[in-house]
Amino acid sequence: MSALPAPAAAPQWHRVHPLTPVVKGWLAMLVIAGAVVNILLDDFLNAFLGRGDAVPPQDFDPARMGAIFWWALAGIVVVVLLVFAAAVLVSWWFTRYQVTPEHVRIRSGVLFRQERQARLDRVQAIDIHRPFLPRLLGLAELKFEVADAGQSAVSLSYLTHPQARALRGELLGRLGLAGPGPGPSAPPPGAPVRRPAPWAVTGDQERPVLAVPVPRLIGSVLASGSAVALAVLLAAAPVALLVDPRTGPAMLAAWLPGLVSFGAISYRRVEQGHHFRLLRVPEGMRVRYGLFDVRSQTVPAGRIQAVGVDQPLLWRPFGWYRVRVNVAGYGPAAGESDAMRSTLLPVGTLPQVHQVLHLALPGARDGDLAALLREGLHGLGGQGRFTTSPRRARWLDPLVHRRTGFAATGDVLAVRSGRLSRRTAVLPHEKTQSVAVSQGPLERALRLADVHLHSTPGPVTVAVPHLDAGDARALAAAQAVHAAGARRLADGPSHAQTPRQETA
Amino acid sequence: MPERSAHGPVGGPGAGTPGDRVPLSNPAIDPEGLAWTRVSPRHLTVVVLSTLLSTLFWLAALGWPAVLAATGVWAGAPLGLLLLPPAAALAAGLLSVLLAPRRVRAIGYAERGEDLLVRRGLLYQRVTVIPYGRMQYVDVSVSPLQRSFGLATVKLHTAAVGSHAEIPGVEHAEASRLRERLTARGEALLAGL
Repeated sequence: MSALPAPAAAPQWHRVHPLTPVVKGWLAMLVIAGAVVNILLDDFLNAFLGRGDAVPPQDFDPARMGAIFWWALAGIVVVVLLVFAAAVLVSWWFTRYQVTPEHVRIRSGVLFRQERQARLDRVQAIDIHRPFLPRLLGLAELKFEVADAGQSAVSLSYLTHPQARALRGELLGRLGLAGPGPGPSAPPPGAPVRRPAPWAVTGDQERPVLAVPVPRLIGSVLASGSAVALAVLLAAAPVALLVDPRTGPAMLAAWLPGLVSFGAISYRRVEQGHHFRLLRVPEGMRVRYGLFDVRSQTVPAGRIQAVGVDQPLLWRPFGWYRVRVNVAGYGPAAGESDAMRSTLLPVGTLPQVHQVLHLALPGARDGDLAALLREGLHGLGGQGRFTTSPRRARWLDPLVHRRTGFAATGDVLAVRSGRLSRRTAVLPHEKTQSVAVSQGPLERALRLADVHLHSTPGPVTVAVPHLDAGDARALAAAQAVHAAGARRLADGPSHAQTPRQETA
Repeated sequence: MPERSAHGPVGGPGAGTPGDRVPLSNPAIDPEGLAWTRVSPRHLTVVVLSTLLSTLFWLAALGWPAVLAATGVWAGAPLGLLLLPPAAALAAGLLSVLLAPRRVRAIGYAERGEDLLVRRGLLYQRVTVIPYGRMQYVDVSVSPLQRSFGLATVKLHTAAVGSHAEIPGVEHAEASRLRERLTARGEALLAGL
């Protein structure tokens, strides 16, 4: 714990772990070494094979004429590697970080000094990421998610894993993400201000909530539309060969990219979802997943903006569901590799979904939520609590109009959609960013309107298309009032500004 | 709202020229009893000018083969066929110019106690409600064409991507008043994420 900042008023600058350059540079070193070996081997083999088997290796021309040449080459390689290593070492030497009561700062660069900082009261989440090689060496990366940037603004790489955990625990406690804690305002110099918060004392208390068994994960990947499409293609292959032996192989070759990409996607899903665990921590929830790259993310309950539960068509016989969330500060997922970031449950049963919902929406009444979710996932038509599109919407939306609908309780708004793949989004009233009502010409003729509820970027979108115009207007008006009312109540612990104003 | 700009409310008395038959206040999506503030009438000039400019650009971009054919440089070219793309560009430009007055009149905004409403669109109409406490920042931008008419565009950003609300064609004084007022209201009602 030596690298932890002292609680004194003058925060120190720390260096990241000395093994960092090795970890960061290993790939480049490997590439260089690989290229050199490849060239040497190539020349060697060419010369060897060109001369035939009978000639011993010492005899062939390039080696003999170029004894000096080879030494020079080896020397160049060594020099390049040394320069590279020196550069990496120097960059490590000049990379320092500092954790003050208000900021996390990273200074780097030798000629071009760069300083990046993240204001702690703007930090939305602190995640620990453990790629494969650093994990072998007991290292971890600490990532700070900032609200406005949309991507990780600052990341400390690498610290030892206990260091990273301790620093995260301390910062999360100081941020007050778990409740009203000591404010992040600057203490008067020299004064011992930081009283230990209760969650800091209890430390990294994790209580396991659920885990996804690997067979179920693999099953969920296999029970997807692309897997079925692939199976059909594979089954069609012999038929194609039988029908036309000449074009058959060409068709197979055309399918190959699909096969490869499906394999890659499936592999990534299994690799990322492997040993997925959801843990309960004082700040909220923590997910941990991954086979080689183990990632650990803490999602403070107050930062969850919207929860989406969905069930693809093929998961229906198994009773599987997926839960994803919009988290403030995470931004849109940058492709498949990031998709797990916003996933609280990659595949699970309905009771598990209830568990997750209960944790993700601590403000909502539980029994109410379960009934709402059941209706949201399986309901059809206007009976029950959901208000659906009127019958005349069938002209615009023949299949789904009986499913699209919304239901509002005192705390949350639930929106359901999808006939084949069922989806339900649950949005706490106080998390609505803005509301829009829109109407196109056809909708105008049918007296329909769409309502869009804007949430922070993420996998969950909350929109109710083709509502009766009156319903739509009422929903938008009610949502505006709800949001305004709930906002005043909810401006408590989840709001970084409040404790600061209190202590100032 | 005490500080409403001098322009009449959307759809209210004097909202449009006589004979304007488009109901600018759509009872289906507009909140009841709300008086919209309209953007500056000079915004129409800006829209028409920029439409003409872009039409000219498209005419030039799509029309040069026809010019070559007509002047005989490109002998044997199907002139009738080559005239089609520039004609389409011209038609689209003319349609936009014709629709511009009504489109501009369909833009409105309203400040309420807790939120700001922005309305856009003629064929596809949209009313966006943005609570003041949700605004992350307010942008005021001025394009060269707008500058020569003393207008600006006020853009509101929340943490959500979907709620990009834009009020184009606001007079400079009104734009800075809006910015100050929105910022002040936003700070007073600031809500955490």
